[in-house]
Amino acid sequence: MASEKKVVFLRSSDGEAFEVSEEVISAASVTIKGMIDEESPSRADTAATTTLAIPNVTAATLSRVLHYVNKHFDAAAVVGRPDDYIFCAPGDEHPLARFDDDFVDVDNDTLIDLVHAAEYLHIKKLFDLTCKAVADKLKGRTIDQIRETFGIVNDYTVEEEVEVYRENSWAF
Amino acid sequence: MELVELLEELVEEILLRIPPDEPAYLIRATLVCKSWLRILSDRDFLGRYRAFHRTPPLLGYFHNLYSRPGQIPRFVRTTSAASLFPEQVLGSSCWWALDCRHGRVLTRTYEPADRLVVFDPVTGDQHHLSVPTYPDNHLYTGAVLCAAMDASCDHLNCHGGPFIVVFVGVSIDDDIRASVYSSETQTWGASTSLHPNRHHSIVDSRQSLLVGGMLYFTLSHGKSILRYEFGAHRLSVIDVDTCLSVIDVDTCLSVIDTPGVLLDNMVIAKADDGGLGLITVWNNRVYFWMQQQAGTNDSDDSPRRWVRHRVTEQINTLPPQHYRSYYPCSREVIGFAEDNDIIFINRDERVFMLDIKSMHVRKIGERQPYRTILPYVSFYTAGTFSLCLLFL
Repeated sequence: MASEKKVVFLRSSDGEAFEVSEEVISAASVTIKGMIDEESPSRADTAATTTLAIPNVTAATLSRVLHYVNKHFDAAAVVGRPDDYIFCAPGDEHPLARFDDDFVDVDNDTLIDLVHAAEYLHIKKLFDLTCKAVADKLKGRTIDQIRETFGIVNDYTVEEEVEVYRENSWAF
Repeated sequence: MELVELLEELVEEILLRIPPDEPAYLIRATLVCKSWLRILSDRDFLGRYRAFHRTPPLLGYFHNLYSRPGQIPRFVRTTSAASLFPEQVLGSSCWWALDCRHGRVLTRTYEPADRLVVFDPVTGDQHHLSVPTYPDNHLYTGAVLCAAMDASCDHLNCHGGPFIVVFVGVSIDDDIRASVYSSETQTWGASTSLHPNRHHSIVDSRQSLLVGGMLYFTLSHGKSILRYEFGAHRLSVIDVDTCLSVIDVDTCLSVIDTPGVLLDNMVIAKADDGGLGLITVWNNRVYFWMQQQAGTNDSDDSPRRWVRHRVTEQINTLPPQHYRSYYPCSREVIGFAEDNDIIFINRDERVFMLDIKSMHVRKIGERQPYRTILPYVSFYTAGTFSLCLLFL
């Protein structure tokens, strides 16, 4: 039964191939589902497995994305089992809340790469999760820290900046 | 991969997800660079932001302990933003807060003139109205709401729009009267009145509830509820005190014989069926009550009885209830934010906010002998638009 399951290979921008269930990745990624649908007439009668090039995503990021996808979209995976205390704790809003928290507990560059990959692969849940995680990083930081964290150049003049602070003095 | 380039492309999606509960986060982000300011001051973005988050955050609460020495600010803020309600903003230090809804606050000032004032803390708008004169009136309450009562307004950003005020007074002979003010016509309509069978002379200071085109006010310390129907311009009274009792789930014993104790820890709230409900907190469990038709007659006037239809687990994140309060005159359940499903509990030196959907508990203020508080909820993204005009 399990051997009947179709798999596809995803090749990262740096040339590494990852195996994933076709059913699972199609449920997760609108982009890859589109690629598979395009390929399918030519492979309907062949036993050959498909390899899809994912030119915008590195191996390091792709492996993280697939870890997320297998956890969230594989119906056969063990999710929310009562004794699965690593991923689920009583009172969590949903069974994978803890998994998600750990998943985005990474450095900024990794997180931004994940945002980009989620957008390119069109995985809505992952896009929401990673954008929210970046937004949460903005919360406790000062303006200078935000600029530093995200490599943003301050293009306000000194006069403008003073005016902005004056207008919004209530917020500081 | 270029980090800056990526952020330019996705920054709107990220800024959209900044939580609204601390308004300063969004304002601080406007100062990062001009492109962030451009996004954050865009009306379409702000509309998307409100729609994304849906529930306006709690910014603070009003109370009426103004004659006490020691000076707690009349608006207790629950965010780090400076107070939205400067002490002298109404031109009077002698005023009473009656209601908060749809981003507006209804107050009555006594000096220098006896006025009702509708104030919008986010925009600073003030509207001063005359107080309707009722014969022998001695107690009063009121409500404020957006004039769009149908689905045409989601009330997430109706600041500055037309509003309605309902003013209710009780005379020394127990006559209850209500009048409605419309900001569109700038006039008070004719009053409607009711002389109930029972003595209801005290209009409680608890916040009103708007549900299903009706306004509800607590009467006589919770023993009954006054209903005002907008369509029919009619008042009626619903009794509460005859049938509430709480069974302790652990011991299966009735722990409250005197309904007064329970009623003092009750707020009127929207029931799960969309009608009028009550919420009480006892022994750290939340009890939900709704009305059920007593007979087969389904008319609005047929008697209804209160049934308890839901009890939560014991909430361990709340400190234990004091059976004898430190302040004999104060209540424990002191407020309800009708659109946020949050009740406010005054206990153990703190004001706690309890989300009755998630059962999440948060400390928001210091305990005071509050009879009631009026929670103020609104999105607060003020200031960004004027900055946009300055720099972009």
